[in-house]
Amino acid sequence: MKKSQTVTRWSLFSLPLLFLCLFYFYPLTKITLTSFFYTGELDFSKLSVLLKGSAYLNVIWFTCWQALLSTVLTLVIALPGAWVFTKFRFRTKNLLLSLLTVPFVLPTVVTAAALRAMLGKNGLVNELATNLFGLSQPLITIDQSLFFLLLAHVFYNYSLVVRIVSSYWAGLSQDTEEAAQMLGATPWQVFQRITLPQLLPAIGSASLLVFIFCFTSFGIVLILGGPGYATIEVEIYRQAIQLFNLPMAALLSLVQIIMNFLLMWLHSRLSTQAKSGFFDNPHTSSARSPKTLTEKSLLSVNLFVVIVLLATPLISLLGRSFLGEDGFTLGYYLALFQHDNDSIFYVEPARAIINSLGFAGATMILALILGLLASLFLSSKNDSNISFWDALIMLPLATSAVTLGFGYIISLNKPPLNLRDSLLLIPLAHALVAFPFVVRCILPTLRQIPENLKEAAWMLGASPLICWRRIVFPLIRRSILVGAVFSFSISMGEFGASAFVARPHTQTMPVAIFRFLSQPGSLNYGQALAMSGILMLVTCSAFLLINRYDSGSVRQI
Amino acid sequence: MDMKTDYILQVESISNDYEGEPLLRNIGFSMEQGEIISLLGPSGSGKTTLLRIIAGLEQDNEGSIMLHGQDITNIPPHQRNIGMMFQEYALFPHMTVFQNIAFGLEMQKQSPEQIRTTIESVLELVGLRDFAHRSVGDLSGGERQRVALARSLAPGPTLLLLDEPLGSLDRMLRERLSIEIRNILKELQLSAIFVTHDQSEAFCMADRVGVLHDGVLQQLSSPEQLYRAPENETVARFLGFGNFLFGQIDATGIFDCSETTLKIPVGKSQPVDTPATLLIRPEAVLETTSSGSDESGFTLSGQVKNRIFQGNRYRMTLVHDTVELQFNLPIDPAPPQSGQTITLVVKSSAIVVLNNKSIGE
Repeated sequence: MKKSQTVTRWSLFSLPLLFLCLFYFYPLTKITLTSFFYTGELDFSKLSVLLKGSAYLNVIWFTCWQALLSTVLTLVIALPGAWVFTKFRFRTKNLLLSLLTVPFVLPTVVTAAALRAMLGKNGLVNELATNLFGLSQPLITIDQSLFFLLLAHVFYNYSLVVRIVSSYWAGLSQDTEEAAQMLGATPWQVFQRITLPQLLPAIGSASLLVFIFCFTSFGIVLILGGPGYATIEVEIYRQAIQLFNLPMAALLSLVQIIMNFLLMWLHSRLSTQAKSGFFDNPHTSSARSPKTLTEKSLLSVNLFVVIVLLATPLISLLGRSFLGEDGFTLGYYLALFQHDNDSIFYVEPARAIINSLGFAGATMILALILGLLASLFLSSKNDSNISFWDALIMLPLATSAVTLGFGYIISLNKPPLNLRDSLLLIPLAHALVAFPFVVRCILPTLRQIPENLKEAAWMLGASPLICWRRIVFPLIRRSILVGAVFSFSISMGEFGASAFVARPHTQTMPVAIFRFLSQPGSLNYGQALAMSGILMLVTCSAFLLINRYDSGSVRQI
Repeated sequence: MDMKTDYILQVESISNDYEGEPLLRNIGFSMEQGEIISLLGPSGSGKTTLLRIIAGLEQDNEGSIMLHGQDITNIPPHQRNIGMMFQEYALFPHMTVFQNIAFGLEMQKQSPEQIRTTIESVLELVGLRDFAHRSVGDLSGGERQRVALARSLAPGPTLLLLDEPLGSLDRMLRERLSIEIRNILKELQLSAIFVTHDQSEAFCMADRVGVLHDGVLQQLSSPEQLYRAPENETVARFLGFGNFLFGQIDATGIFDCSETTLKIPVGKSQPVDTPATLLIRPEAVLETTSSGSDESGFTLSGQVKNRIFQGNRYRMTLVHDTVELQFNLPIDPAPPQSGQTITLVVKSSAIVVLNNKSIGE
């Protein structure tokens, strides 16, 4: 490669690299320092407290087993769903497939609010039961129980498993199943000996993702679990915000970071296996209509599960947000926009909405710039260290939002980098999480562009810059758009980091929802639901936009 | 004696639709034990569908299939004991070569010793003796093809189906393997049907070739018969013939071409005074003064429009009146250059009266 090209590449990459150093590695270093050097000299006292006190070990233990239990439950419910979505064609399939994308973009806070609106103490089901049967006690009392928490995790991860497994399944060559049939295997033997073993990498990869998600669960546990349950994330929050025990919070963050890296490393190893489409068979639209009675009833049961699990909480959320003490009301929505300056802690809800939109816009721009620059660098075909840099860029994904947020408040609060009150702090945190996603959107498309396309443009007299503008950019435009919407939605729903770094004047919608939910009174509750409703609409319409564009974006180059 | 029991496979009036469009129309044929039939046709002709119907992988069709005189129309594929080799081989990626081949034997509940012996012998047969414990991902295209063959042979199927068995290999390998597969099948006395779009492959491997076009089995006969006497224009065109003349045959057995003054003797066994299509196959020789005109031949003179040297022959385009005809001439003696007028001798066996309508039109 020419020297000038090398220089250009590295100068492009220097910005993302600098960003990572300042807003990722620096806070992480600070967390490590705080864990062991809080008093100025090496100090292992917190570590011995952690190891000796059963309370902290219990938190770690609980984090692990609730994640495991959630994963197993999700698999049990979602694998039949994956089968149905792979094998059958039915009328509502496209509608249900887009319903499946909803949990991806639903902020955890909204999910928690939605489940509460359905099954909580003042939820729709209990209200209905009380009104219909005149019960004096709520019918369902699962508030602040483990069950509620698991339900939320299943709600979140059901579609993840269905989508990963069924897309992989649909890509499996149907020939091997038919070959097994021709060799005398019964349908069950075909599944057990041929299909299942080939699916295992996808199932493994999906389960690990679910496990990671539940392991780092923060908003759901904080809101639905109540004080009785704490994952490591929640404990970090409590230690830092409520008890102000910074060294212990830092130590727990360190534990969380190490666990996350291990899990993500495991996942990336598994997913390379899952991705290697062996004997790729592109023409596999093998879905067919269900024929036998068994197939039909299995299909119906699964579709029923999808609808009950995914649609009812969302409908309840919207329904409950319009349901006042005397029936239908717009009061909760209106209250969001009314001034009430009696309390000094009061933050206008409308302000949170404006903040969120502004932060999301800023995040989008930041993430796009960083993501584009990094993708350009990473798309080079003659650099043997690419996989190292690629992994480096992905590191923020392996770090929980809570640890990032915590890292920010202990590192960016004093010179040389004092951003504590800056409006930029939240977009910076969000961009750090969002830009690896942007890279993942753009890079694959960029790598698909054949070298000879650019060479042809050069031979036709286009300068590298014109070649970029006229050839490369139009080909990756859709991926850029998808990345943009992705980063916007991530920012809109992000809760873990915002919960740490948001100041009264930088409060976001998820933080406001959390505050409403943790205050007593039906007006607060109603306003939480109303704001959740608005947030849900924003993120869902963003995703409808993606679906729209994405379905047309699979252009063969 | 009931003739039907001699047949290994009888396919009767198979028809099938795909999304309302007829794909296969009233297909019927029988094959004998040990016979190799090739289904030849362009893509979209329905040849793979026919193969999958015989396999049992497609079942939404009319008609019936008898294997060894037994109706298997409603029997699921895994109970038919028909072997199938898939186009992209469909090797199980999570298994070794040994495990792939063992699969069908395990389904038959064979003992481990039996399985090992069978696998050794089929691997020997396909020339992959030391490959048993290789992963299928490490194999080359030709090796995968052999493993797929071994896997479908191992359970001792009654009939073997092969879907474009050489389709994804390069030309050199294809020619070698097609002869090899034929030898193996003949050695095992195994009846087989294979699907291909490549004429030379079909001619080289099959005892009989069936030409499928637009879902209709146009002709099923030996390669020689197919080449010498294609049934109709569709078949003739698919085989690559291009010299067609349209006209009428009179009572004296002379074909009168409607476009030119050509009169060609075709014999008296043909229907008289109806429109007829004549195929002139491209084999011909130059008329030489020494040989004179061949008694069973027909002479044709015209102007050379084109002369292409193709190594073992010359490809000539001859213009007679307004019609252009193509001929292949031996390289000795070298035919004259373009522009000159020559006279060719065409054997009467190279002149074929076609059925006027192709089937299914």
